[in-house]
Order: sequence, then structure tokens, then C-alpha cells
Amino acid sequence: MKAIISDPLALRAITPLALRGYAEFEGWRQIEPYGTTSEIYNRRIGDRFVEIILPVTDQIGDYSSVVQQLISIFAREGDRDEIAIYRDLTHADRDVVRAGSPHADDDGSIPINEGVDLIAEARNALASAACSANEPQQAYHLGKIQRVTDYMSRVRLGQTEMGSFVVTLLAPVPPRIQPPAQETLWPELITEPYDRQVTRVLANGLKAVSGALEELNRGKDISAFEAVVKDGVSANLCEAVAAIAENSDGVDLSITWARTRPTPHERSRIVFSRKDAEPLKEVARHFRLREPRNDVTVFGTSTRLHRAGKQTSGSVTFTTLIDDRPRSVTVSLPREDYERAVEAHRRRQPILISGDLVREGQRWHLRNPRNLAIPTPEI
Amino acid sequence: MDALLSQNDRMEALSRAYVSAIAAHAGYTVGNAQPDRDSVDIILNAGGVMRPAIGVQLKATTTVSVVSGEFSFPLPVKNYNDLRVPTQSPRILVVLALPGNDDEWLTHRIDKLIMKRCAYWKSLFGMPETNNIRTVSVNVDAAQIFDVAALVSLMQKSRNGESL
Repeated sequence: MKAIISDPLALRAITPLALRGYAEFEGWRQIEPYGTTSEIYNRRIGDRFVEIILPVTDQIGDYSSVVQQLISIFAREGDRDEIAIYRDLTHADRDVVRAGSPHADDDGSIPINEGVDLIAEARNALASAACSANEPQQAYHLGKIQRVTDYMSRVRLGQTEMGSFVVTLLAPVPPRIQPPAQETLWPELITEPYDRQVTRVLANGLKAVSGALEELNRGKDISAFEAVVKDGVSANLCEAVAAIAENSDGVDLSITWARTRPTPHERSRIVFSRKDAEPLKEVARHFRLREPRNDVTVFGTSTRLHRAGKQTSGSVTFTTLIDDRPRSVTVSLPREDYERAVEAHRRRQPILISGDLVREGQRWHLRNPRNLAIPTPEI
Repeated sequence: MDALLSQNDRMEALSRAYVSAIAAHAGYTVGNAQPDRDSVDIILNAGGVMRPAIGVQLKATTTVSVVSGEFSFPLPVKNYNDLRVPTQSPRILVVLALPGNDDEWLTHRIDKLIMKRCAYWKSLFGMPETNNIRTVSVNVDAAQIFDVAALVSLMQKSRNGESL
């Protein structure tokens, strides 16, 4: 059955930039202006030249009609159906992240819990890449980095796709406004806008995870993953991929790059199998154990004080809750703060202190201590 | 006698027939309205994939009174606003002037088919905003007869991306 897109609102959702990005990607070349609102493009197809007219603004009265015509022409000349063209156009100005479950029924449905998990973990994978693009680390607490929160608020959940159950995340990316130095090479990551850095880090991170898994299979240890943290690998990414691979019995992850910001390759794709889930979960566990938790505030009662000789600073060990479990944490304090801690210990008063929580082996340490406070009990 | 169309419907159908006949005589095709449906009743195409093309709003009236070379036509505000905004394919208003006696609208014999009076065209592109609620009186130049020559000229302008 051939479907025709005719809803004006749906047609108006396609931007002039998306139309141009799609057309240029498909080989249409700009020729000359048409009036004050449009540009003429043409393309050689077989032994004939076909002409189209692309609006440069959506502030024209017949915008929906024009878009419908263009979809029809693209479908006819590309021998594709209009639904697929429409989908490509709505995605033309977005990097599209797809996470596919191979186990859809013939009608494209999957169990609801699996579907919900797939969406959530696809989101987590993208969010982890956003964290890594901001600053590469072994693990993150999602929701704590404002730049990442702002970015994720602009990501859209697209329509699931037929065939198998495919979750699509539509990631924003600004259009290219200057031709690259070389079309066939990726620009340096640092020169890209943050939005594009995120999806590139996701692609690089997934590729690095796949490579590190192979290294693991060759007998290497956790260092294979530590070496690629700089490429976007994190506990969060490993957890997300593991969850999808386990719940969906494997996963096909891909990024199709926005046509309004062209890349040397149209698409990046990595496939993980169910058996990859367990090693990835273990990698994530390792990363989380050892990654500092920056800028935390802990509250607890000191259990041990130690100052060696005539040193002015001393260490305080106190008990606090970490991940809802009582843990001992040791902190080195300068003289004045150490003496306040001693006084609190004498009075059996708890202390409140901020710093960066780091696990070293089986022990927790608070680095960069600051803002020590002795809360006074309410009368 | 059975009749499905009202008086106004008959007049509109005749205006569609008129424009279609002129277009056919010029060698152009007539297409249906597009999703915008913004005051465009038919689209006239001259062979290209997207250009040239002209959108037409069809009207008909039996009360054309030419004064100083033009006549006034009350156009619904919606049509007025839709026809005056920028568009990629230009749009025009075509008003078919019909005799007051509907027996004279169309006569046919074995040797001829006669549709009486003629249609006039007007471009409203760039006309000012209006505060009117129901209709806007637009002045139509009685010299702008919608015939084959006029249509060919308009289509050439459309081909070049010019305003009509």
C-alpha cells in the first residue's frame, strides 16, 4: 500500500534546513534563486535532469503543499515510499540514535517491560556520552551535571520503527555553516559543537567498548577498559549496554548522522550480544568502586583520631552512610579543623564535612576536605 | 427538474470549467488543491515538475458592474488573507462574470458551445492587512481578462519566479 503524507501540520514539521540537508545529501545541487522565497536545485537521474524548488523559509502560504510535492518527488526519484522519505526528512537535522531489539513479534511489538527498559537504557547510554563529552570519567551520577541535563532536555524520543522494535532518540545538532577542510575526514572533536561531540563520543565509546571486550577475550584485564575512558567508556555506558543486551537478548546500536551536518560516514553501528552483558556489568562495578564521588557532603561521628608526632595536621576516621550502608571514611584535616574535630569527638558530636569521596581498595577516603561544620544539637 | 447543486455551486462549477477550458486550450494541466487548502481551488501546471504552476481561487458572480475600468468584488476575509501572503507558487483570484439570467450561462448546439461573459484575474500578493471581519472589497481591473494569452503570460512569470 502506498501512503501519501497529507496532514498540513505533519508537513510543516519539516524545516527548510532539513529539506536542503536531505536534498544535498541525495545529490541535488543548488542552481539559482527562485523568487525571494526559494532556490532551484537539480540532479542528473539517468539521462535526464530533474529540477526541484526548495523553500528557504516556512513563512509561505503554500509551505505544506511544497513539502508534500518534494516528498513525492524524492520518493519517486529515489524509488522509496513516502513514509520513509518523511521519516528521513524529520530526522535530517538530527543525529538519530537507534537501539534495536531483535525479538519483536511479526507485528513489531515486544513485551511492555522490555520496551520501557529499552527506552530508558538507550537514554542512559546517550546521557553517559553527554557526561563523557563534558569530562571523561569512569563513572557519573546522572542528573548532577547541568550541561548534560540541559542537553538531554533537548533530545526527543522518535517513533519506533517497523521490522524489529527500534527505539529512536533524536539528538539535536546545529547545522554546518562552513564547509569542512576535508570532506572525507572527521573534524577534530574539540572543534565540534557540544551537541555533535555527544553523539560522536557515543559512537566512539560503543566502538571502544566492543574493542575492549575483544581485548578481555584475549586475556587482558580491566586496563583494556580504563585505557578507553578517554574515548567515552564509563560505568554508565557499560551498564546501559549490558542492560539492553541482557533484556533484549542482544542489541543493535547505531547513529545516523544529521544530513544538515554531514560526516564522512553516513552511519556508525555496533552490535552486542547477550553474552557481553556479564563482563560489562563487572567493568561497571569496578569503575563505580574506584571512581571518586566529587563534591559530596558527609555526616558522621568520628571513631578514630590520629596525629603523628608534632604534625599540625591529623587524620580523622568517622562512620557515615554510603549507598545506604555504614562505612568508615578517613580524612586528613589541617590543624585548626583537626582540633575542631577532636573537640567534637570529645563532646560526642557528629561532624559535617564536604569533599571528594574516593575508594582505595576496601577503604574510603575524603579528599579535598572543606566546609567542616559541627552541627549544634537543637535544644 | 432534479438538481444536486445550488445556484452558487453551479456558478462555482462553471468557473472551474471555464478555467479548465482556458488552461486546456493553452496546453496546461489542471490539478487538485493541495494540503494547504488555503483558498486554492485548482492548480494549473505547465509541464515542469514543480514550476511553472499557478494556484487559482475560483469565484463567480452575476453582478459585475464596471466603473472606471474596474469592478468591485466582495472577497471573504479568509480568501483575502490567504491570497495576499508570499507563496512559492503564485496564486491568483479568478472571478467569472455570468449573465443575470442563468438560462444564458451555457448554451450548446451541434455547431458551438457558448459560455457567456468571461472571467477576470487579479493577484492580491502584497495587499495590506485588513481589520474587516467578513469580506474585503477588492477592485478587479476589467482589462485583466483571464484568457489564453493572459494565462500564458502569467505562466511565464511563474516560470521565472516573478510576482504576478
